[in-house]
Amino acid sequence: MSYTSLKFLLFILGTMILYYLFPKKYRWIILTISSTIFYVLLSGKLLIFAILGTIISYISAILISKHEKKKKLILTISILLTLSFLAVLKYDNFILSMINPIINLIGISIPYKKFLLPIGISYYTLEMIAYITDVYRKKNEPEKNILKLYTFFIYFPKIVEGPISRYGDLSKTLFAENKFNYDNFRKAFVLIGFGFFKKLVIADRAGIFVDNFFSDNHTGILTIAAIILYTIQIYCDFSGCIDIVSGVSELFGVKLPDNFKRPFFSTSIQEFWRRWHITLGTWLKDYIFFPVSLSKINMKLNLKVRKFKFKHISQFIIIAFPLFFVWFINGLWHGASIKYVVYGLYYYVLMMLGVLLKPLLDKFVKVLKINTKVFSYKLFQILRTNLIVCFGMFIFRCETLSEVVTLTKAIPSTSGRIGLFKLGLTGADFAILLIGVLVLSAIELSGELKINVREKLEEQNLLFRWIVYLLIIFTIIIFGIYGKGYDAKSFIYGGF
Amino acid sequence: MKTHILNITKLLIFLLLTIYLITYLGKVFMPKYWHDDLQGAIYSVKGFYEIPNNTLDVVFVGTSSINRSISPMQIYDREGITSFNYSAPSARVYTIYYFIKDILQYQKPKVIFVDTCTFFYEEKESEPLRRKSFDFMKMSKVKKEMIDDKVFENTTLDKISYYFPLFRFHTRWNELRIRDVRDAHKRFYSINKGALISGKINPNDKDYSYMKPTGKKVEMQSYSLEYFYKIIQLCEDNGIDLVFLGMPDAIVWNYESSKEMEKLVANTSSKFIDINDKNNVEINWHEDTEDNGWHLNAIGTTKVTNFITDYLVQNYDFTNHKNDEKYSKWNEDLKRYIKIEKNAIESIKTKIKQNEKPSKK
Repeated sequence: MSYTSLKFLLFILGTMILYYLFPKKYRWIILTISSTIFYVLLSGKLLIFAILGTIISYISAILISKHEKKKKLILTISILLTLSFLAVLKYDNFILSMINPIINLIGISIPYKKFLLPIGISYYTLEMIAYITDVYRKKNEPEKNILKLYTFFIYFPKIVEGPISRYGDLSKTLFAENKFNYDNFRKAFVLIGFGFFKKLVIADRAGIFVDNFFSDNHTGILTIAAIILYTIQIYCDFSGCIDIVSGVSELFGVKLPDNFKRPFFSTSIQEFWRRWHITLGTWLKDYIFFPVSLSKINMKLNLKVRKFKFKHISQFIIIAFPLFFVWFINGLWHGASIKYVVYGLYYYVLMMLGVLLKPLLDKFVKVLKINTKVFSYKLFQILRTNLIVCFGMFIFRCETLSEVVTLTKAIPSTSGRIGLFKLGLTGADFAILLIGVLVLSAIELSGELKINVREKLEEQNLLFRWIVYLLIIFTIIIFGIYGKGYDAKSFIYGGF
Repeated sequence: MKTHILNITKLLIFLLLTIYLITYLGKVFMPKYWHDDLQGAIYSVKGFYEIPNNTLDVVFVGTSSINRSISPMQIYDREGITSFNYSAPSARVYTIYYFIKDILQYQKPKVIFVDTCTFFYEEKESEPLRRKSFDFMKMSKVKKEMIDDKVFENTTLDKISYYFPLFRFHTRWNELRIRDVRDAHKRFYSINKGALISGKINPNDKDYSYMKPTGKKVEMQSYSLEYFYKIIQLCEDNGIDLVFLGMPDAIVWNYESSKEMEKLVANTSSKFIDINDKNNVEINWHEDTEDNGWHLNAIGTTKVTNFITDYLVQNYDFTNHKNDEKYSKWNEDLKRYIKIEKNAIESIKTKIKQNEKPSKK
């Protein structure tokens, strides 16, 4: 049941009716039931891993709160247990590909096995770790009601693609006695509509070109078009899904955390990652960066490097160590292959180079008297960031690293060159894409200028609002890529 | 409470407006499949609903074969018998069953002639062909039953798209023309009474070789057989004479199909006439076909229609409606039809003359 399917829309309608018919105090139980049904429909028996993870999180959080002295040990064991499902189900072959060459030397080999991946395991595992750690850090009290904890982990709007939520934040609205609010309903409708627009009109249309380009082994200058379109596709796909699920969640009065904040307006890659997949970034910061930074090894390292003559070198080493783990895990989280690790480390290397070369670049700017306060400089920074991001997305899309190299080398090649309109999109489709991206950019620019388009729309008169609602609905119905003749694409981030 | 009622009212109005627009745009986006301004697939189904209720003596049901083989207006011209050619391209036996059910909602014909052209097809029709059957039918309980019938293997989205065609045809946004908007409001009144009178000619050189025995095994698929008997039962229940017609078709039809139909019909209340039998109608496959033997052109249509008219005269006692005031519109249509037929036949004759190859007949 895809988030853009009719079944899902009917599922929401049914859940909503039951939710608001139920007594306020127990409304969350409807979300428990519907989330369970949703999960079983998508992953069947694999729900067992979510249940086991919930039990581990529940027991360990209570034990941590009760056994102050042993809480670190309990935390370590519970995190390892929680991670073990993910490690076996998602990373088994990746781990074996590392181990087997070594144990082969002594004549042993462990056979590779492909497991079915439970939906959302990459997301709820991180949420479970965050929950246990937050109890350990006394940020949260342990939840007494295991059903509430279970509901939080498998809450259906966020189970497939996130956003990665924190129990302390989401539980405030998830288990609140939410009342039906017509204004919220309208706002949620607009958000869902905008999500559908991004996914069906832009992402899936760009995806036709991208899929044809990569599946038919094309090369040459069209690679640049494929990279740009893939970047548009992945952004509209992922942020479109988040808009849909956030809107759906708002229908129940439950506020999901923000996951995107107009990332393509970023002036640096650091900023980009603070605006792109925000919940993953903050999770990595809270549960990888800080623990590694505060670890004994890092502390010792800090003490040693502080004695260095060049201050910026010592500063570089201080952040390079914990950030390595952040980006390594970021890459690995996206997929069990070296390609994804390289994808994470690509950003790591660029960021570290930025830190390392900062004094030199600052000097360069000073000598050339470049005004860094003006719009043109900001525009240059935005374009530079987008260029880096596009190449990162290119790594992400290619099947292997050798494909990245081959395609990059062949960009200037003219052999086997085909026309732009030969890869599934007509001139009219490109026009729709362009208009779609312009509309999206205008809305995002409004956000940058602190104008909340949804709020502004709700302030308008009924007739204007209805015209806009109808425009959204019919743009999706008419220009959306769905139904016969089109293969609706599953959400890209649903596989992680 | 007042606010709640107001909000619910607003929501309902908005929903109704949206549904109305989806329905209206569905009409605009739906392909019309007209052959020209007066005939084509859309006229053969939509045109049926333009006929006043209970005014048809005979109905012809089936595929493009019957659509181009029998001209109701020629029958009317000769004997004043009113008929309609309710057909859709490649309609299978189960679709024909629903066509007849649909017909019986509006008309009480004495005889129904059913085209057997697709009866022995081993596969079901493709989606575009199916749409030509479904999309032009008026929404009714019969159509709803048809949409839900498992024989069509419709997915939920398919079913919805039959109610709201915009969901199926939204991909036509870049090929829409003003004509699509205009035709969304048009009533497809059929002067030809569903038939398509073709002025094309493309010979078939194999002549009647397809009617020689080959020993090839021909049998009806089990799901087709089920609807074949359903058609017979439906006509029996409504006191209608049912005649299966093997329409002239040198490509699809063969000797074995004819024999199998004879066998199937033998123990039923229905009849079977094979027009492919030279003793019934002699088709000149060099001149009477528009597309190398698939379908007949206007000359072939006249031959088959004459045969059917004779059959009706010999077997039934129909009233001649020509002088009946109630049927004056038929007389008006006849004047226009004669011109259409004349143009088509002249066009064929000109093409025959232009073609230096001498005709075998």
